Amino acid sequence: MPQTANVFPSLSVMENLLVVVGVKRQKQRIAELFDAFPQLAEHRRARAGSLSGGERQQLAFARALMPHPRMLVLDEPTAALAPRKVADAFALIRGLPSFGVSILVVEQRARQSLAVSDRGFILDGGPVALSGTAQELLADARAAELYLGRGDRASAD
Amino acid sequence: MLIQLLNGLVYGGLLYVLSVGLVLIFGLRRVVNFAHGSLYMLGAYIGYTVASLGGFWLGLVVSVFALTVLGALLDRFVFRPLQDEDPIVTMLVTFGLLLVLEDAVRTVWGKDFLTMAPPPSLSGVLLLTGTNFPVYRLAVIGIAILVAIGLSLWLRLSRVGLYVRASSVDPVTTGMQGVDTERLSATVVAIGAGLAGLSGTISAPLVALAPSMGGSILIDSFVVVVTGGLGSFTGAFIAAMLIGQVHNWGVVFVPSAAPMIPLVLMVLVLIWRPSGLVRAGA
Repeated sequence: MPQTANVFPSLSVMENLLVVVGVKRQKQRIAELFDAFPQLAEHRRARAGSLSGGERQQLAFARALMPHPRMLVLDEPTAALAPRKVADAFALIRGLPSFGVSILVVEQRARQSLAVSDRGFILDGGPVALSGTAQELLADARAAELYLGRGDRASAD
Repeated sequence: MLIQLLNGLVYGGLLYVLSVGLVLIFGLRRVVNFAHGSLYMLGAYIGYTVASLGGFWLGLVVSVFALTVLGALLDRFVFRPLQDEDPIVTMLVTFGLLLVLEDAVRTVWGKDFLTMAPPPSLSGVLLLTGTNFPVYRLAVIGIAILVAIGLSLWLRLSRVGLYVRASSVDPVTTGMQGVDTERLSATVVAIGAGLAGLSGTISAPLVALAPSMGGSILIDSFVVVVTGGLGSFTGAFIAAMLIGQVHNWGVVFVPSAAPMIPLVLMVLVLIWRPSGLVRAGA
């Protein structure tokens, strides 16, 4: 479930945002998010089920941002996407800190996620095997051996 | 012709008010509430007794109120503790409740048929295309329409209505948005039971009251819910009106096969559209 863009398909885009409880100045917050995601603003009355995969993901992010969170944990946000949409999703994730939110991404696509990250942690069978800035990890031969070179060939670029 | 059409609307209206409660409860609790027919029956009996003491309208109000409270209790002490069990367990418990309530009513009110008069203000007849038609029947159609309008406005425009629609689609995600889905379910089951009470009381002047009266209309309500599309409010309205007509014309033209006709209609609709007339959540 968390790996799919879980919006409410039968509700409108607007209603998907209104459903979040306990948001101060809810209308104003929705207007801010519509400014940030113009595609959503355009379809505000459309049923979320009629949106494209990328738009649904934007809506899922917008909804998560509604209550001014300080941190978002994304569990494999690209898992449910078509391969050619993956780059769009990472671009979207790269933009999220501008909302004043820290992002923790759990991803299989290690290179692509490190490319949009500040820091990375590589887990090997549970414990943290390597950690460092994204730049260091991308350049680190051990990281490549542990993870980047293996297991994720399809998306390793 | 017009008279038959109107009689179909009367039955369709009663069915709608009953079925939409089933749809609400199914949406929030994922429970097929077999006890719903006995809530309808209990509503009729409570309405009957209070009406004989304080008039029809007091009977209606007290019955709806009593059934709403009973619905809240049903959610708190049956649906909520059983929500993690296999749905079949909850279904069997509601079926057991149906039997218990029928027996309880038989003990209190006896098993003889009871009849109830419509309120004096609505007891007249209206001359329609040369035939006298009871005003009370028109009032029943009116009440069903008011319930339909009221419910759709509530679901579409109110905040709680939005939560109900969201939770009918995905209760877990709705809970993650901060909605108190337990309280929401209790509210919705209470409203659903209250509507069963309303349906029972307004049907009381039209039928003979018997402890078993919930059975046949419950079957028709299930047909409405399934034909309309499990979990769809709009579908329930369309299907109730359709079944009301079909049931009524069946009684007029082929009385021996009348109870079967709604079931045949359901089968045909499901062959044509396996998920019902209206997709759930629409």
